[in-house]
Amino acid sequence: MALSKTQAVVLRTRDLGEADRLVTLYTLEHGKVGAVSKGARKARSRLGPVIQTFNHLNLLLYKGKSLYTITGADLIDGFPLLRGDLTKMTAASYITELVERTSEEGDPDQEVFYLLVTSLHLLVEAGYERQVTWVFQLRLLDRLGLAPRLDRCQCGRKADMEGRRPVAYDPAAGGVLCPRCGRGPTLSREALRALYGLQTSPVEEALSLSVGPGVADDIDEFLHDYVVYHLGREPNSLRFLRELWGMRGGEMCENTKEGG
Amino acid sequence: MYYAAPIAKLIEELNKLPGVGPKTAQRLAFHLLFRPREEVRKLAEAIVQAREQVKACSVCFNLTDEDPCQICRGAGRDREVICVVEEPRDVVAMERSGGFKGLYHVLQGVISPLDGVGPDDIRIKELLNRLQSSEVKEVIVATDPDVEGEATAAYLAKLIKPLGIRVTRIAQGVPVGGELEYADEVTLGLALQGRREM
Repeated sequence: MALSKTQAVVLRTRDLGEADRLVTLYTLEHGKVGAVSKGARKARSRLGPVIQTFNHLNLLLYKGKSLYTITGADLIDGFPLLRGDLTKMTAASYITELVERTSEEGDPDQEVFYLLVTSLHLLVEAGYERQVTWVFQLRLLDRLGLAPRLDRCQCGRKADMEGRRPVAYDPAAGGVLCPRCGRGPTLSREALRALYGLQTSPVEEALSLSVGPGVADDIDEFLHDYVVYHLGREPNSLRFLRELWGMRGGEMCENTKEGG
Repeated sequence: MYYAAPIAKLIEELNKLPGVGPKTAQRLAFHLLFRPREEVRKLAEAIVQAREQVKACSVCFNLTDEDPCQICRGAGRDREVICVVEEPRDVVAMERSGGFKGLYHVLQGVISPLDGVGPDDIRIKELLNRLQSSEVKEVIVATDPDVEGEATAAYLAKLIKPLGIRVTRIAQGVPVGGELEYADEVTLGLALQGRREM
């Protein structure tokens, strides 16, 4: 049947023709798909206000030759708090951009779908945008089979979690490196332990992780290098998010509870 | 080759216009070929003239042929209120409403992290400069009510409020002549939030 009902998150919208909108969706049933929302830009469109970036929807989709057409939409959650806050909105943009860039059309992954929805919910809650992006990136990389290896070097040697000296890593080698295997950018041991904790503990625990600002920068830097290596370019919203967080000191410390 | 070279070139150029496919381009080209020369020359001149004479106003960044633009120079305009919009087309829409007599500021875009457009890429700095050296008492933010427009509005409010200037956002709700039954849930929710005393 050409008509299908599915849950979806709107990843991106752009104008199409005079009054239509071309929407990139991540759907529960079909994965990433492109869909047309006809007349969505008209002031009296019933679909237009519902089909906005980040919205979690119940959709009625009609499958055309190359694109779907949205024939009905019910809002499940519109995350209104994301909209009035530039940092939260940019973090949400980064999350949706990562999903868009790492998924193939018509290749559904329910885990990625629920990871996306949960992360958007968590972003709305105050205080730990940064932790949400960390957990999201690590979980998504894991799901894609690209999880960074943090507890041992590529040669099999175990990483010394308790040490003091910074540890080298290389995204191309898949994770951290022992002193014998190579040099590269380095990560403080504290950041390594934090990352390992983020990767291995349940979400609630991972989110409550508190680290100092220097460690938070290290974690961001590590994940940035990793994501850029695998995507082949820096995501637009990540560049902007890093500017907002003022990499290396400044405002970003607000979101990161000290101590722990 | 189906067409003589000049015709092919004309079709190719018309085809670049938004919403014009090869068939429409062909129809327009043949239409022009059979119009009086004078008429076609006028069209060509109008295009070149508009392109060469129209520029952004140095004050509000609206499109204009004289700098500052008519609105910025206008004697009857309220200089204490600035309406901030995304595009020059929005100025036209606001003017058509007839309900606004203040000045404008055209951002020439909207903050959009997904497209790599940040606050420095649109005319925010120019707006702040303008506010510092003028008698403005209120800024009405009339960016589109979508994710990018709302984020831009919130960002502007954060920057402008500390200057002691009132910042307001245009209302959102049910369109005139619409029916409640057919209003979507988001709009109806906002309409309720923004209800007014009668």
